[in-house]
Amino acid sequence: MKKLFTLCVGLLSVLPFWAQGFEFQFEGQSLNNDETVIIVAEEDLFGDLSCETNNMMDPGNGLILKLLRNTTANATATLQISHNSLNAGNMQWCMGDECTPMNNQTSLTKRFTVNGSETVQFDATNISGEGYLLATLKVTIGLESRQVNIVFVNGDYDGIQTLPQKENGREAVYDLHGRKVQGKPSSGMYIITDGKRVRKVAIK
Amino acid sequence: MLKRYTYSILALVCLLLTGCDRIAEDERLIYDPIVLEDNQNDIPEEGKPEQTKRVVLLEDFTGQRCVNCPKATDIIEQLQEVCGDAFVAVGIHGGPTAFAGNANVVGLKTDIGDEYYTHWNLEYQPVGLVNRHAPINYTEWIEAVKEELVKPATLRLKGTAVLEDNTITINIDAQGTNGTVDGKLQVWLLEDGIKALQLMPDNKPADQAYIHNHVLRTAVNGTWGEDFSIKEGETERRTMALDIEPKWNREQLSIVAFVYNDQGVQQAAKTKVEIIE
Repeated sequence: MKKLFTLCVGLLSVLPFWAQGFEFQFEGQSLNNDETVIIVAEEDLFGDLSCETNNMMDPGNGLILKLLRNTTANATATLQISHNSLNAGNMQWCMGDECTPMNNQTSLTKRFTVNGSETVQFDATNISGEGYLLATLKVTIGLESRQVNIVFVNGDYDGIQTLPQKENGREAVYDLHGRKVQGKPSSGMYIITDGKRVRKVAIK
Repeated sequence: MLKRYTYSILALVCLLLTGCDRIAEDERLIYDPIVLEDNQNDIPEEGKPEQTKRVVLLEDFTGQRCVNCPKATDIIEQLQEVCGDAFVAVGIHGGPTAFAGNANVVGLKTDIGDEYYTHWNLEYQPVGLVNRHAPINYTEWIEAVKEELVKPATLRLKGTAVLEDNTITINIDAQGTNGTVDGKLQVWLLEDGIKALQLMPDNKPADQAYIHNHVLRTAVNGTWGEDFSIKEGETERRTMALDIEPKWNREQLSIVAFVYNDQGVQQAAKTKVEIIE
């Protein structure tokens, strides 16, 4: 009986280490591991066609990495771009106090300290081509790893394997996290795809 | 037990006695501009020209789309406050985060900014060159500037710039003060007080009325300057002229001159453009 009690106490004491230590959030909502965020190209403040994970006028309300248990932690983040047909004039990835151009590289790892939360600033600006970009951001803190898929789209997205395609010849509606919306969507911003093109629509 | 306590107390006493050694003023790692000013009046060695202080040049590679670049500007302002005219900063808008501008938004990117960014093989922003040594992150600028400030100067540089009608006439006077200097003389035109859009760090919204200072507008004597050589004790004057562009604010212009070679920037000087009505 005593041994069983000791075992239970031991298990309970290590339980916090198994609990989720961080998560990705998009527009204030938690993302599941390996979830997809779809961002449609829009004209930014500079007047350029851009996709950005955090809007220039409201940064910190887009894609962020948030610690759930500790106030500070050392993180390793890898951004991997697997497809890019956007023909963006510039791409930059800012995390850990440093902005790094991503025009000429498809994979980059950064190590930095997170204090509470860290904004994921990944931008493709001055887009001149119809196409899409697929990237995966994987973050490891301690023994825990989580990733988010980032999809930038301008116009024709035909061929994106990770994006759900048109179903039964009808337009499909997704929320900004890339989750398929069943039934009539409530008010808000949505991604509507017809199998060939994607567009961002505000439903009131 | 008593023996163990005795050792502990002895160790503590030793630590107290040695832990508070007085450090001589000249060994402290604190930049003191007054000491630097005094160095100007050091009595020169017999037969040598009067020595001069070293002015340090920081090339800040920046961009309006660079969210962390305003943090680097904060460091520059700290350095300017502490070092005064012994420190010259130049904001070079080039590379991927620089913005060229369009009909609605002011852009500060220049072709030479891009050329410098490419030439120095820079990989991120903000990043800077202190006296044209290896590129370093803005968090290391203060230490790097301190190290350069204490190095002896090899020449004295002084510039004057006068704007009459639409032309700036620039005179750069140099005097060799320590050995022979071979390299290039580079002269740049800068502008302060430009109000233009800037992305901001720490989740602050973009600032559409951000004031950009010490912005590189153009190179007066070519992208890489002109050949320059001076021996100890010699003096030399270089004169050049530049027509200004209508978009530049003539009240906010200044000239930066510096001599550099493979060992880095040897001396720098900054002067405001004087307007003759």
